[in-house]
Amino acid sequence: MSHSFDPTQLADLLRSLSRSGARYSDARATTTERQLVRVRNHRVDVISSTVDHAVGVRVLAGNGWGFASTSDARNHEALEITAQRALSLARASHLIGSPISFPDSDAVSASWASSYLIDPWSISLEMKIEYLLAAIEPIGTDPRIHQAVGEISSYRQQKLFVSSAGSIIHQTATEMGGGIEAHAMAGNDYQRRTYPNPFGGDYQARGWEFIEGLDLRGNASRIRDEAIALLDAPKAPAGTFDLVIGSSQLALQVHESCGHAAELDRALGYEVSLAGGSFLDPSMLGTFHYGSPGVTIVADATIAGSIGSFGFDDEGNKAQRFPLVERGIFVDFLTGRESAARIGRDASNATVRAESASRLPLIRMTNINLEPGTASLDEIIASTRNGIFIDTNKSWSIDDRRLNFQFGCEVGFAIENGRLGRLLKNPVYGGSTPSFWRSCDLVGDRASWQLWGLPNCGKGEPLQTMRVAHGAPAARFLGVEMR
Amino acid sequence: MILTGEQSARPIELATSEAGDDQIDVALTSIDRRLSRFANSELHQNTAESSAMLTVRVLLADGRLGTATTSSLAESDIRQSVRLARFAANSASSLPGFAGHYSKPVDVTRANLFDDATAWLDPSEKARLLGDIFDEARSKNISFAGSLTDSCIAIATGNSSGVRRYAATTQCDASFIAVSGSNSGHATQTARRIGDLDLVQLSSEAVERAGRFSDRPRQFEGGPCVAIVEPAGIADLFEWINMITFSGQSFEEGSSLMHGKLGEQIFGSNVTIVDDAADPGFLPFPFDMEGLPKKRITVIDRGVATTPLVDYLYAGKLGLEATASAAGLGSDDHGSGLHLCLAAGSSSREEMIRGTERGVLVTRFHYVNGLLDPRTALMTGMTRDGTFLIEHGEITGRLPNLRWTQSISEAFSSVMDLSAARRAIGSSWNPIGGTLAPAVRFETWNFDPSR
Repeated sequence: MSHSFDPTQLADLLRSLSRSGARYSDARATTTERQLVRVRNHRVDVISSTVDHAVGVRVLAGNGWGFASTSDARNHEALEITAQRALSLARASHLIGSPISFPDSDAVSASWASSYLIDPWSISLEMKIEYLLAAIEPIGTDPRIHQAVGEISSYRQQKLFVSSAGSIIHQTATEMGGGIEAHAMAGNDYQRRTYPNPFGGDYQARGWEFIEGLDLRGNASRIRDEAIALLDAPKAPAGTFDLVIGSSQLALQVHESCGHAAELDRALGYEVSLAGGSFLDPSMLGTFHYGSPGVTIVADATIAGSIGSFGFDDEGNKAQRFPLVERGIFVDFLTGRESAARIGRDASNATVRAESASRLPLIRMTNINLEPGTASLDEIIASTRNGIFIDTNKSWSIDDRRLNFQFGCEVGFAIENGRLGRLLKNPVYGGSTPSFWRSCDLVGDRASWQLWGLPNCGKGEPLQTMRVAHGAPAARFLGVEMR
Repeated sequence: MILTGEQSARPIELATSEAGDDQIDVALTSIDRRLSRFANSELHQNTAESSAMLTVRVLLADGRLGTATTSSLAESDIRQSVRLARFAANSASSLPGFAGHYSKPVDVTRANLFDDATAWLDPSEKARLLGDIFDEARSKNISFAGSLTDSCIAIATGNSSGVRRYAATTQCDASFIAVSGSNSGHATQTARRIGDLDLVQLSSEAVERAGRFSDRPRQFEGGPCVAIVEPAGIADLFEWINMITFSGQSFEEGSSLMHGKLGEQIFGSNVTIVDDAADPGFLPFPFDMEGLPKKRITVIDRGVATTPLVDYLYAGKLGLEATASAAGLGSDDHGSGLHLCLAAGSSSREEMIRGTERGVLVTRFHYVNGLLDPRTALMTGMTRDGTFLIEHGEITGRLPNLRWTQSISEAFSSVMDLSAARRAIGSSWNPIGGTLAPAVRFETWNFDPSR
């Protein structure tokens, strides 16, 4: 357990780095526990558990950064070697470095933990299996159903952060996720419906009470029927349509076209080697029309119960809420201490995190949310003459500047004269980020707004998968190209 | 640093000694990876990661199984992992077709896969090498982004039926993106030994692509046309084909293009794809994570679907021959190609260009997604870091990045020719392998209409 780490041991390491000439250093220790239970076609498919310990040390020496980590986290000698490796890497970086500004921060001593009613690990494997088998039971009663899948995942990370500025911060995040899938096949066609979301379902920083609240079994027959119906449904038409996007898909649209685009390290070119840059640049702050006046997007790491929330980021800065897009105008980036300094700021907005202490912390999304508007989903549909309603992501792709995107969804429905009509399969839409968000004319109200946990946001080398979340209502976009 | 054979043996003996009436498999991976990332010609992320991960799989006599993984090699944590895996197995369902785990006393090939020069590459020397390359380009107003990775990897597997394996290897990977104004060019390669990577040559390749026809930007109306895709682009496609078409899980789910089509022609007769960890000229490795000796597996034989890539237990479940394709114990894909090779042709990239009346030359792809319609391997993505227009047998201009949406089943059924030269391309998720790919000319590639 990271809480069994002695902060003074890590602080001693950092002091020795300072004596060796480090300008700044921090150390993190994490213990990450995961459990996965998956059932498939009335049988248990996977039961696995993972416990991962790590200590990572980050050093700024001269004008060079170095980072080293070890999984041999309880071996004092290994920790000393790791700290020295980080220093030696920082000195190597300094050899070809240019000036680095890294503003000071105040020392913080704090503890933070997400809350839950029922500990995920207090529920027996047998109970989780029984729950899942009961949940998928209604799916598997039709010969066209090829697979019925359900899964429940549990996650806990304990983290200790210590910095050469004197900070000591303990944090614990406890999270659960769950979902079901119905896979239907006929001839060469293969269709899948998921609930509540694909790729393992939905995730929150809550306990077993979250899984019980999902009502997986109560949605099984519906996704079975929709998966089967999709086999005979017509392909969603290509052309230009008014598009009503459901909360789940719009959350991913926010993730890909706003969240990543607003990461300042990307905008400054520091992620070009893998994921690319951004069409947003600092000169656009406060002036660029990112979307229509109805579009307000906030970064909020303080939402209770969300997997994108935390108490302090991995640079020891307190979690914040701030707008990225305000009434359509681009107003802020997600920043870290070093990148904030590069655009003339003396503080970050606390978004630097790593998936565990084994990896270097980077600017990551928190909860990036499209704020609700005033129209109900029924009103949005009723006011649409000829359009398409789509939801639940199936495929995603966007270019290296976060401009040119294409998304596919699991399900679509024609909207004809203000009413939802026939089912449509394989809806695919695309566009360019600012044009798309400027075409948003109706934003759904709080009733259509939902927060979606996304535990697999990829960034960095080696690739890190970060736990983030997005709140979104349903919304309408005019003249969108369906493919 | 990585674990030696002796250091790896102790945890494996400890875990397997807990088998009792059950069967136990153990896989232990230790990695020491030094990754230097650069951007704007600055070395901004200089990292070293030393990690070990041990996975225990307990199999009960009736085929119920559970797994547990730990990064701690303390005796108490290993015993706890066995307890957790056994506890999980007791709650599981029996695996159909279960006939026990792999237990053949076959020796695996022994080869020297470890390169001291790679293992002991000094961080300062690495920084100076990169610094020289950055300085050279700076004088031409070119900056670099990319990464240079050198890793040591040790993998040990063992089971309660006496199978014991250990191999240590090195791998290094270089990727350069040269940025010149709004244009960029890319070059990448992976190898077992740092001495086999010519960093200056790779960076020059990237610079050449960034500068090529930079004064002749052209627009492209889109639509189907001939496409010549360089090896890095083919590797991008293979990452998805591996997942959605070749993996044991996709085959079982029915989402794979190969499902129900074994023995049938699914690609053109000039397309042969093998998973070959035995080729000493590529990135050899002697065994998979269940301890099976690696061999050359033909997945697509002259266009005919031969077999998906399956782990030992899934081979039994699906009634297929084992292909030694376990990438982990209990991994979700139930078989994966870590050493995919597309057979070479006899052409060259220059000949392909000369033989093309109108087409597009693609350096590589970006953000490919293969989930649009897995049964036809319908994918979408963008081109990146060098896309060029070909007219009347020569490159005539530089194109912006293009979106495409293409059935890979159709594309690999319309391969016109493949280059004789191939390149090894690495992947961040695959520390011991990669993709060996030629350049490929496709008769039809569907670029989305420009808007």
